[in-house]
Amino acid sequence: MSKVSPPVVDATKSLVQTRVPQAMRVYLKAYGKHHGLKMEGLLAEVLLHFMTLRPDMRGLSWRTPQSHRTEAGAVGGWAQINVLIADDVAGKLAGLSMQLGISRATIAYTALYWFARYMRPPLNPSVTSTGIPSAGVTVTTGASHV
Amino acid sequence: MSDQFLTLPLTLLSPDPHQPRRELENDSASVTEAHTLQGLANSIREVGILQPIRVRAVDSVNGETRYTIVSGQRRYEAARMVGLKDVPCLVIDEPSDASHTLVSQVTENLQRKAMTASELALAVQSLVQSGATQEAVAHKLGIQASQVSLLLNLLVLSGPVKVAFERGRIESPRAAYDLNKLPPQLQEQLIGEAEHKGRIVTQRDVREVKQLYTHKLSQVRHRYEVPAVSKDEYSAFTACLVDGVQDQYDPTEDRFAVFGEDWPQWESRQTGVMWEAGRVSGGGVDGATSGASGQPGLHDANTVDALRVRVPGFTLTRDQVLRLYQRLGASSDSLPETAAALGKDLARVLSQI
Repeated sequence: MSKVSPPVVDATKSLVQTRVPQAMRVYLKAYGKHHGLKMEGLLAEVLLHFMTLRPDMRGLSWRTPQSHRTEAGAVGGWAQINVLIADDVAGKLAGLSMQLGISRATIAYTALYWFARYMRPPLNPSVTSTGIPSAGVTVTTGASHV
Repeated sequence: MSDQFLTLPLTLLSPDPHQPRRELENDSASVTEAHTLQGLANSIREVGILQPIRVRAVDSVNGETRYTIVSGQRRYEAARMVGLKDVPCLVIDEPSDASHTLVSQVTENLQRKAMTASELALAVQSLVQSGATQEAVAHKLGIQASQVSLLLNLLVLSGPVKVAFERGRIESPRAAYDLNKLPPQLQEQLIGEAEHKGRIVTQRDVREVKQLYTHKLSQVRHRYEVPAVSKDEYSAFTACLVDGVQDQYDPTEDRFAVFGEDWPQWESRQTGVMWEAGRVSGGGVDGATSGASGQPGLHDANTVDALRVRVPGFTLTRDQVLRLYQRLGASSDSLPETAAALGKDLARVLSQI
């Protein structure tokens, strides 16, 4: 009888799963690559900041991820994210999830949404590096918001 | 009897079983990496057979003379692929001496000098400048369109990379092009190291250095720096933020906590727009804010929210409109449903103040 090697498991990491719109995943991956981070590292960092700062207690609403088969609501549909993150971060996530009665996938997606929309969103390519908008494109800096 | 040019039916030609060239498909030493049989066939389809196939008469069957190919077997195979019936041939009058034929076949290939990549690039540039599209040029030359753009990219090589490439010290056009995009100091270092070791710079060397460089660069970047995104990616991103969920959240404090005190400077550096304290949270009705409105990128995301109403100079959420009505003492019992109607009604209320 041949010996079967057990799968290599990193016991110091736990699986975190969620779904995000494909366009958001593309941006987050590009942001991570720009800073030498894989999705694992980026998600762990974002989750840590999110759970420390708790923006949900200051007006940020929870967002429920849709099925990765969902086409509606986002260009390109929703993408599944399965990443292994450090146990301590995953433990905090599980604790928060139980405390609030919200799924881990919802917390992870809200954290990524928070980061991609409010913390560091992509720059509008219509705004040049000199800050002069391209011809014909009106760009508001937000000062006109009431 | 002397050599003579004839146009012969392909059916009368047969390959030489002792042909020294065994590999007809690919020429790995080619600068374009596209000298495939299919490429030759495409070229023949476009411009025909420019050099006649050298053949020798061997025997006669039913009054028809048959010929063996001395040189030009790839042209023969490519002509068959194209579906040509007749091909131009040079019928040579030489003795059927196996060793003599072999020498002439080897010499024919050995003495041929391929164009250098730079020569080819200049030729391609001339064709493109004459008005032909890159696809058309690729089609005419029997190479892939990507090879045409790669050759054109060689024309931008400069400094040590250009010198090294022309001296044959860099493996491929792709390696030279990628190396050219790295800082000059790294280029010189890589080329110098390879020369010191007596080897050429390979694509793998360039890739490894590029990865190392990118990694180091990522370590020194400020976390607030973002990669450039295309217009399509940006519009897809802003579209995916629209989910019907509203936030009453001001990200200013959290940005300072995550990115440090100097993120506004990075904001200005990347957008050219000076950040001012209070922009992100300022101006809200009853303290309510419109999210990350201090971020030029996010403004667009907000304006596509279905619940938002655009009036000249302002962008308000439906909740903000309600509170504004209450503050102005206007009736908010029968607010119009559509954004356009709500905008008009708001304008009416404001005009009555």
